[in-house]
Amino acid sequence: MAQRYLSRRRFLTSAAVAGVSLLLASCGQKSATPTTGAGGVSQASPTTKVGGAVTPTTVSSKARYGGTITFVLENDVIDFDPMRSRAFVDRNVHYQIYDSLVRVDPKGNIIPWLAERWEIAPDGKSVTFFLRQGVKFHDGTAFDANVVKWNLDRYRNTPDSARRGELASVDSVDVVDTYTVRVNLKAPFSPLLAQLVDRAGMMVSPKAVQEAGADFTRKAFKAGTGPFILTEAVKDDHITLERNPDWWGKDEAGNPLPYLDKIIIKPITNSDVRLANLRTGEAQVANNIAGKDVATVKADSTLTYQEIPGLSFASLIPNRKEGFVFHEGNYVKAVAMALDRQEIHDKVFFGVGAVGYGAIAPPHFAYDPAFAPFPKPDIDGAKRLVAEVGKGQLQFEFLVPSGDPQTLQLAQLIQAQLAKADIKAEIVQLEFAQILQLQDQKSFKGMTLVGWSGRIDPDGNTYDHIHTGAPFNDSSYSNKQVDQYLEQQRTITDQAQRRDLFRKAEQIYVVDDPARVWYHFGAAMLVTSKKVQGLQPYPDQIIRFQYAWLQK
Amino acid sequence: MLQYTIRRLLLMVPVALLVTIISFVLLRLTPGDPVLVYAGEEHDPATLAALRHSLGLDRPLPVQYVFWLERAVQGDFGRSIRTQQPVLEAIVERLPATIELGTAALIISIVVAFVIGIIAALKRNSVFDLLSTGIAIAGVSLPNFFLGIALILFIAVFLRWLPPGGYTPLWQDPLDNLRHLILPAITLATASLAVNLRQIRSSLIEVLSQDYIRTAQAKGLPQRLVVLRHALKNAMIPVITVIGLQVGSIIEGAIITESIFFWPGVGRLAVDSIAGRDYPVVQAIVLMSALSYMVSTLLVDVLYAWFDPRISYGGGAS
Amino acid sequence: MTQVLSQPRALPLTEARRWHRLLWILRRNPRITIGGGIVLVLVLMALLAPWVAPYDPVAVDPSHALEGPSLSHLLGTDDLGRDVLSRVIWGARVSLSVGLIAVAIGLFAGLTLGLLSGYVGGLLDLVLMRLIDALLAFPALVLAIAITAALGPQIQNAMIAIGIVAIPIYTRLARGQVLALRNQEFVIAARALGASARRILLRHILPNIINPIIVQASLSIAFAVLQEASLSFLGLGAQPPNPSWGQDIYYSQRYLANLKWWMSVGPGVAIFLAVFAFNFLGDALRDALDPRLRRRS
Repeated sequence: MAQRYLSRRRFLTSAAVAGVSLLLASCGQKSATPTTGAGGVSQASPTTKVGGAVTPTTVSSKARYGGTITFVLENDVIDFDPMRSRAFVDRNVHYQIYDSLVRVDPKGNIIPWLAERWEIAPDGKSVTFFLRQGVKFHDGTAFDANVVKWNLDRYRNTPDSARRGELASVDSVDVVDTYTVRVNLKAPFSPLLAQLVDRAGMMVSPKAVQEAGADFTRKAFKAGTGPFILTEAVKDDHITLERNPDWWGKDEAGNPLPYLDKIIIKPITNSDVRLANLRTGEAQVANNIAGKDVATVKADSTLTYQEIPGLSFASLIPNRKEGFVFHEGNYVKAVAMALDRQEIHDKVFFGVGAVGYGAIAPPHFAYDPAFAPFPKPDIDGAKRLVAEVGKGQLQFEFLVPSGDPQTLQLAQLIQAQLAKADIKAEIVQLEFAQILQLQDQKSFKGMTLVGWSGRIDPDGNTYDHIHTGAPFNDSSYSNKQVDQYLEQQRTITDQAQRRDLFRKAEQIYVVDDPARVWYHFGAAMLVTSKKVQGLQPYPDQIIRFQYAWLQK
Repeated sequence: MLQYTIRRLLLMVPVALLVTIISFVLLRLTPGDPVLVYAGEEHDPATLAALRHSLGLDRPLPVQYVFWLERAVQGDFGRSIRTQQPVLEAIVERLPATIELGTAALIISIVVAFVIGIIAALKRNSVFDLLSTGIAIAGVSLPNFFLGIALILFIAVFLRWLPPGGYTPLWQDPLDNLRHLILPAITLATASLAVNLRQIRSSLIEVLSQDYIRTAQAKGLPQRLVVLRHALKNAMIPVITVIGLQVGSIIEGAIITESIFFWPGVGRLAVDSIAGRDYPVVQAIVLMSALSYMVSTLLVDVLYAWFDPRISYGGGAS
Repeated sequence: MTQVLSQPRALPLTEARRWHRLLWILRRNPRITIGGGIVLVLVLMALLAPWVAPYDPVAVDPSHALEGPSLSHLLGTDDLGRDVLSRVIWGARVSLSVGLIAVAIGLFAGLTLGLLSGYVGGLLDLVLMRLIDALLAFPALVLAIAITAALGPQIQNAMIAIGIVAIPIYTRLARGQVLALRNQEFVIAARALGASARRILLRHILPNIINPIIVQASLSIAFAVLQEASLSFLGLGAQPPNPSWGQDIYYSQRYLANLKWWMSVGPGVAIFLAVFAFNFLGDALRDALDPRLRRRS
C-alpha cells in the first residue's frame, strides 16, 4: 500500500500505487554489441507482434465492441500535461490518452510502442529510435521524428518541467530522418528506456499545446495519440474519455483496439465510498481499495479481484545528519531489528503486498527473494545495540502524515513494537506538506513514515534515495562504496552484472550501514465487475483499458 | 435607519480588511510549504526555486499581502497554487453546489422546525413538547460527521436506497441530483433544525403569554386564528435573526458535510485548500464567507428594526 | 447562541442569597438536575479514569484485534487490539479538559476585553470591536483549523484555538452590559464615591451578567467538545496513541463498512452524551434564570 503515506484528501502522490515497473530486459542483454532487429522485445509473451500492441496472455475471440465503463480513481487528476505532472495518480489517465516511445508488458519487460525498435550504440552514449509510421494525433497532427524531438526538448528545457530530473542524462536529441530519432547521452545510462516508458516519453501534439497555452494542463483535449481521447474534464467531478477510432493498436486477431466506446473516470478519495460504488454497480473498475476490504471483494459474486506484487516500498526515514539522534548507525539498525514485519503485514495491510527488507521490489530483476536480514523481530539484539552506543534509552520523534487512518494504525503498531525493545518513539502527526518541508530541509529530528511509489527500473527505487546528495535522499545518508556501486550499474547494460552490483549495494545500505528501515512492499491490485473482461494488473498498477471489453 | 445602514456598511470595510489580514497571517504561519506540496515528487532545488518565483512566494510577506490586496479589490484573486485555475473561477464553479445544498438544508430545517416548534409551543410541557425539545437538543449534540457517516452506512451501503455520496448537476439530471442531495441535506439540516426549533418554540411561548393574545382568546377567537394571525408574526422576529445568520454561514456549515459526501462545493474546496496550503484559494473563500456573514447580519438587523418599530438604531451600542 | 440579559440589580447578591437561589432553582427544575447529573458523572469518569478503566488504553494486542463486544471487552477491541471501553473512559479526559479549558480561556479573555472595551470606550472600543467582528465573521471551523494548524497539532493548541473562537460571545456579553449600566445611578454614585474602575466593574457590573455567563458557558462547553471532536477528526488536536473521542471515531470509521461498529459507536455515543448533557443543562439553566420566562403558570 502506501508509499508516501498520504491523507485521503491529498491529491498528489497516490497512496497506493505501485510504481511503473520494469526491466531493461532482453534489450539490455542483446545489446552488448550493436544490434538491430526487434531490439528489446521480450520473448515472454508469444502473442507479440512487432509493430502491434502486446495482448494479454489469453485473448478471447468473443471480445465485443462498444459500451461504457466507469472507473473510480483515488484522487482527481491534477495535471493532464505530462510535463507538469507530479502526481502519480495522473498516470492513470495519461496512459489512456498518450502513447510513449516504449511501454512494458505485464511481466515488466520493455516493449515497442511508438518506437518500433531501437539501437543502443556500442559506447552506450546514444540510443536511436525507429518510429512507427502513419500515426496521427487526435487533432490530426502527424507523428514523426520532429515531434519526438520537440517533446523531449520541451521536457528537458522548460523551466518548471517536472521531467528534467528523469531526463538529466540526455545531452541532445537529433532528428536523423522523418521517422528516426537519436538521443545523445552525457554518459551511458541504462535506465533511460525505463524513463521513456512513463511520462518522460509521452508524446503530445505540439499544435494542441500551443493552442491551449497556459491552460493546457487542465484542458488537454485531443492532444495525444493514445487509444482514448480526452473529451471532458470537470474538476473533482469526472473525466470522460472516448474511443479513438484511428488508433494504431490491434489485438491478436488483427482487430482494431480499443473495444470500449467510453470511459468515465470518477475521483473518489474515500476508499469505502469507492468500494460502495463498485458493489452497487455504479462503477465497474478500481485499482485501489483498502486491505481490509479485500476479503469482502473476494466474497462478492459480482466482482473479480486480482493482485500481483507491486513496485512500491514502505520505509522509515531517519535523519542521519550529524547532530541528530540517528546519525548513530546502530540506532537505525536497532529499529530495523526490533520491527515485527510479519505482524505489520498481517494486521495493517491485511496480507496485501509482501514483507520487505530493502528498496528493490519483487518485480525488479535485481530482487533477491532470499534476502531477509531481519526475518523475526530480534528484541534482545536491538537492546544490545542500543546499550553498546551507551547513551541510555533510544528516544526519538516519529513524524507521521495526518489524514489517513491506516497510516495512524501503522504508526501506533510500530510504536508498540519498538516499545518492546525499550525504544521510545513519540508520534507527532503533521500535515503531509509540513513533513515534506522538514524532510527537504533535513531538519526533522527523528524518523518519518514515508515510502516510495516505485519505478520500473531498480535504479528508480534506489539511486535518488540513497546516493550521496541525491534529491530524495532525505536521510542525508552517505556511503562511498554504495555510491560507487550505484554509479557503476548505471553505465552497464548487462542485467546480470547490474543485479550483482545492486545486491552488493543493498547489503550495505540495508544491513551494514543502514540508510533507512524498510518493512513492506506494496501490491498492484485490480478490482473489476464480472462483466468487464480483458484486464489484468501490471506491476505499475496502471490499467490498460485498450484491452477491456464488456460482456452482455 | 438609513444613517445606521450606511454606517454599518462603512464599518464592514475595516472588518473585512482585518479578516483578510488574519487569514493571511494564519496561513503563512502554518508550517508546510505549498511549493513542496505542489511539487509532489520533484525535489530539484532549481525547479523548486523557479516554481516559488513563478508563484510569487519568494517576496517578503507584507509585499505579498499588498500585492494580493491590490488584485483582490479589482476582482482578481490569483490562481490556485495546486491547479493553476483562476481562484474566482474555481470558487464560482463550486458555488452552485454549495448553495443548492445549503438551501435544501435550510428548507428542511425551517419546515420541520416550524411544524414541530409550533405544536410544541401550543402544547407546552406535554410529552410531545419534551420529546421534541429533547430531540432538538440531541440533533445539536450529535457530531455531524458521525451522523453523516451513519446515514451513508445505513441508507446507502446497507439498504442501498440512495447513493453513498457524489453529485450530478441539477440541469443534467434533476432526479439523480435529488437522489444525491437527500442525505447530505438531512445531515446539514440537523444542527440548524435544532436551533430553529428551540427558537420558534421559545419565542412563540413568550408571545403567547402576552396580554393581547389573552385578550384575543378571551374575545373568543378560534385558537388557530389567534396563533396564525397574531402570535406568529411577532414571534418571527428573533426567529428571522437566527435563520438569517444561518444563511450567512452557509459556507461554513457545509464544510464537513461536503467532505463526507463528496459534494463538490466551496466547503470541500476550503478544506482541501487548507491541507494543500493553497493560500489564494483559502483567502478568497474566507473573505467571501466573512462578507456573506456580515451582509446577512446587517440585513437581519435591518429587518429586525423594520418589523419591530419599537427598536431604533439611533446612537448607542451596536 | 443568543445571549440572555437579566434585569439590572441595584444591589449585588450576597453569598447567602446566592446559595438560596441555587437550591431553589435546583428543586424546581428537574432538567437542571438531570443535565448536571450527567455532566457530573462524565467529569468523575474522567477524573477517576485510572481506576475505572479495565485496561490500559494504549496497550496494543494485535492478536485480539477487531473483536466485537464480549464479556472481557464490553465494547470490543479496535484494530490494534486495544480495549474500546477503556479508551472511551480515558478519552473523557481529553474532551472534557479541552472543553473546559477552551471555554475558560474564551470566557476570561472575552470578559476582560468586553468590560474594558465598554468601560473605556473611545478609540479602544472602536478598534477592539472591529477585531471582534472580524473574529466573528471568520468561519469558526476554518479559524479553529487554521490556528491549530499554525501552532501545531497538539492538544494545548486545540484548546487555544477553540478558546479564541469563543471569545467574541463573551466580549459582546460583557460590553453590552457595561454600556447598559454605565450611566445608571448606582454606578455614577459609586464613581462619585471614589470607587476605582476595577471595583465598579467587578462588584457592580459583573454580578449582573453572572446568569447569562453561566448559561452561555454551558452551551459553549458543549460546542467546544464538538469542535474538539471535529478537530481531532481532521487530525489536529490530541496526538496518538492517547485516546481522544474525535480521533478514535475518525480512526475507526473506515471499519463501519465492514460491520465493525463498536469502535466508532463507543466514542460517538460518548461525545453525544457529553454535548447533550451540557446543552441540556445550559438550556435548562436559561429557562430557569431568564426572568422573562420565569413567569410561569
